[in-house]
Amino acid sequence: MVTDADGFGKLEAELRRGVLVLAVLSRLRTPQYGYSLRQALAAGGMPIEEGTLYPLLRRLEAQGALESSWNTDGASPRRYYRLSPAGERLYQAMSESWRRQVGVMNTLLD
Amino acid sequence: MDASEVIDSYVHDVARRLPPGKRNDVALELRALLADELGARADAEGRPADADMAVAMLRGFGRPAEAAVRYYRPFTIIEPSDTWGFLVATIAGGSVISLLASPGPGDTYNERAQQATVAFLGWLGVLVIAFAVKNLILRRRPDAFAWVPRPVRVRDRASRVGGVGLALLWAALLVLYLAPGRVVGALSSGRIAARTLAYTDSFTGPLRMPWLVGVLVLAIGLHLLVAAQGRWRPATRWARIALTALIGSQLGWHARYGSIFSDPDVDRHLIPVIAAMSGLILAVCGIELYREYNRIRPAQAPAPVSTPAPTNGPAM
Repeated sequence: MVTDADGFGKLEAELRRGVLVLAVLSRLRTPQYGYSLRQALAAGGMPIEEGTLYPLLRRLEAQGALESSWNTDGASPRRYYRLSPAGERLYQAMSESWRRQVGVMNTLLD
Repeated sequence: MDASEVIDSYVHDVARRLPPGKRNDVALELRALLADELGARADAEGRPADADMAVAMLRGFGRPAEAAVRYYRPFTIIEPSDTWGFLVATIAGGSVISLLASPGPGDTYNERAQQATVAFLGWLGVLVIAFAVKNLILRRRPDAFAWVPRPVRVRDRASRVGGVGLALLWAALLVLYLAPGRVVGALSSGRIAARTLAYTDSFTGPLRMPWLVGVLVLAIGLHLLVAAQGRWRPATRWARIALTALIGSQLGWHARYGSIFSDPDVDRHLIPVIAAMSGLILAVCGIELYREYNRIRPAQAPAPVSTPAPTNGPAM
């Protein structure tokens, strides 16, 4: 039986993990580098560990959902990510799916 | 070391665990990201970044091996899902090797132990290679080794004829055990003299022979009981395992502890056979114990129960 705070924390983290990809895609309609993306997600109420975010970005890029390019103009080189055309379509499809699921869950929880 | 060198050390430890094609790219990006993270942490704490701060941050990031796995899933020789199968194969192979390594006539215990150790290490090597090849194939063809349904054998049913037959078999073995000379003499029409297989007084004394007689009588009774009941129940299954273990260990004790037959030549030839029988019976006992441990209740689906038709939409 899950009654303690630790059990709730694990289940909540599992719940958040499911929406992480959608949250990341939502912030990449404009180019972002890893740290700025993490800040943007935290500012939107979705803090995410760096160890989780950076590999996720590379995985999404390998799947063709993101494009990346290096910017070497600043003091340190930075890799900027943004949605690819396939990523845009994925984002639209996932957004619609998410809204449907929210509707279903609201019905179930009422 | 300063903070930058600490980050370099971490990035190096992560990158060297990645495939060559990914190393430089990941290292460049990871170094920049970690520098940003460290800068933000220094700003938040209102002091310049130092090595201690960098180490604390990187420990939160995870050990380099863990960080590398997030970027690239390495080839696994034995997958976690294979652990149980690997352990079972290791123990089963080890048991067979120990059985085959029982000292025979003219062998010394140390020679056999050395041979068994080498054979066991060889078996472990074969298993590691076999599991690695399997996982290599699965990595390239994930649909390989697809699951195939197999009927579940119900082992608890016991036929009356089979039960009585087993009881008779044990009874025959009991008679052979009690009077091997007479039985073999009768079977060979007197060509083998009964006295050839006579036991020593030490063997027929109260500390050796009578114990196995008692266990064999119990085994006969158990099989007759199960034949009458028509099925094996938990109590009779555990009794069978216990009696099998007792018979195997009694025979092993006979083989290890002093002479059995008055004729030393008979001893020399039959004691290794008794030792092998002991090993075989103990191996069977191990298999029965394993089956009991892995028993799933119920073994078959319960009778279908009528349920109201679902009224909800499609499952998610």
